[in-house]
Amino acid sequence: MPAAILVLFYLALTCAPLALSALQGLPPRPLRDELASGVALAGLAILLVEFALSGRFRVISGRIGMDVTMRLHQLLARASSVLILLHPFLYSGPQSLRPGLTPPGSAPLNFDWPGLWPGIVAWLLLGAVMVMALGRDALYRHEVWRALHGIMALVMAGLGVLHATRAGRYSGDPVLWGFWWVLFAIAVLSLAWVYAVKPLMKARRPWRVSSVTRLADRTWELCLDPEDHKGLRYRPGHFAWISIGKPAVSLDENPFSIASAPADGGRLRFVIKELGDFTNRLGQVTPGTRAWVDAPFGSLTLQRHDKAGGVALIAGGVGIAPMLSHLRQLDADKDPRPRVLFYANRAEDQIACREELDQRTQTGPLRVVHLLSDPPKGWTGETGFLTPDVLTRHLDAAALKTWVFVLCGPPPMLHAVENALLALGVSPRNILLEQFSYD
Amino acid sequence: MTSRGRIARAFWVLTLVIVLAVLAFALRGQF
Repeated sequence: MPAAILVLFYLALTCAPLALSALQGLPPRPLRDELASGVALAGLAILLVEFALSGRFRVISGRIGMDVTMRLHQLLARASSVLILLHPFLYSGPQSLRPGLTPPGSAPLNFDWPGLWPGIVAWLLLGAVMVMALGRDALYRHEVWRALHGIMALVMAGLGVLHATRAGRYSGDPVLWGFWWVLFAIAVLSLAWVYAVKPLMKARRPWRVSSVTRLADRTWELCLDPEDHKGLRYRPGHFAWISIGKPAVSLDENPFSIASAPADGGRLRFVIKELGDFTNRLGQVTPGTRAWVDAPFGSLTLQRHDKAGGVALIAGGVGIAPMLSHLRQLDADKDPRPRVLFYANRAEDQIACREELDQRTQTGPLRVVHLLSDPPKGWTGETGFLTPDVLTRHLDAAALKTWVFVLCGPPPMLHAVENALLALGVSPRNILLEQFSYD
Repeated sequence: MTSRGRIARAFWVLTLVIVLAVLAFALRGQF
C-alpha cells in the first residue's frame, strides 16, 4: 500500500467524526461550544488511531519506516493531548446551557454524572500517560513502561469513548456511536494482537541459543537456531524482537538487528553491545537456552534499490549488525555492484568481525574504511568523525549520485552523516537510516 | 531535507489538515 494512501486513510479516519457530526444537521451552538466539541472529536480519533501506530504492524511500519512510525506516534500523541486537554476549557460555560441562552433547537450538553465521570478520569489519565511517556527513560525499566503505557492508554481511550457516547452532543448518534466503538474495538484487538496473539504464535516457533561469542569490547554475537521449524523469512536489514530464557508471553523482549543473511540458512545471528539491562548479562547466557523471536521488522532493506549503482554501508559501533547482514547476502548473491563499508568506532578493540570484513574485501567488490575517534599510535586508517571530507575521499561524484546509502548507529552520528550526505548532493531517496531510540 | 525534517513536515501537514477540519466544523453555520 503506497504511503500516500496510508496518509489519506489516516486523515479520513481522524476527520470522519467531524464529518459524521456535521452531517447530523443539528443547529450550531455558539462558536466556543462547537470548537470544544470539534477538538474532542478530532483528539479522540487521533488517540484511537495511535494504537495502530505502535510500530508492531508491518503493514504500516514496513511501508513508511519504523522511525517514521514511532516518531509520528509520539508527535501525534502530543497533538491529540493538546486538543483533548483544551476540550473542557473551550465550552462557554454552564450559562450557555440554560434554555434561555441556548440557541433555539440546540440540544443541551449532558452534564449527568454517568456521562461526566468517564471524561474526567480519561482527561486526568491522559496527563498521567503523557508525563510517564516523556519521562520513561528516567523513571522505569522499558518493559514496565511499555506495558503500563499500553494498558493506561487503552483504559483512557475506553473511558474517552464512554464519555463521548454518553455526554457528547454528536456521539450519541447511532452512526458515530458505532464508529467510536469500532475504533475502540480495533484498539483492543491491536493490543491483544501484540500481547496475546503474537506471543501464542511465537510459542509455536521456539528457538534455542546455539552460541554466545565475544566479538569485541563489550560486544557479543548471539546465534539462535530454529527448533523444529523452518526458521524466519526475512531480508537483510530487518530487525527482530527477541527474548531469551523467558516465557513466550513476556514483556522482556528487546529489538536487535539481524546480522546473518537469509542465504546463511535458518540460523539467526545478532551482534549485540552491552548497553544495560539484559544486554549486560548476555555473556552469561548458555547454549541451549530457549529463546523467542518476533520478526521481521524495519525498513533498512535494499529491496527498492535494485538499480542503485553501488552500496555504501555506514555503521557506528553496534550498527555494524545490519551491515553484516547486507554484506553477507550481497556476497552470497554474487552481486557485482561496488560497495564500501564505513565503520566508525571509538577504539580499535571495538571493531567487530574485523577478520571477516578483511576477507570479504579480498574476495568481493568491497572496500572497508575504518574510522576511530580515539585511535592508537600507529593507526593508519581514518580518524575522527565521518565528515564530508572523509566521504569524498572514498566516494567519487558518480557514487554520490547513484549509490544507495544505508546508515545505522547512534542517533547523533546518524544525523551528522545524513546532513553530510545531503550537503554532498545525495538524494534523500537514496538514504536509508534507522535508529532504536527517539527524542 | 533530513529524515527528521520530513517526518516533522508530515506531522505538521497532518495536524494542519485536522485543525482546519476542526475549524470548518466549528464555524459551520456561524455566519
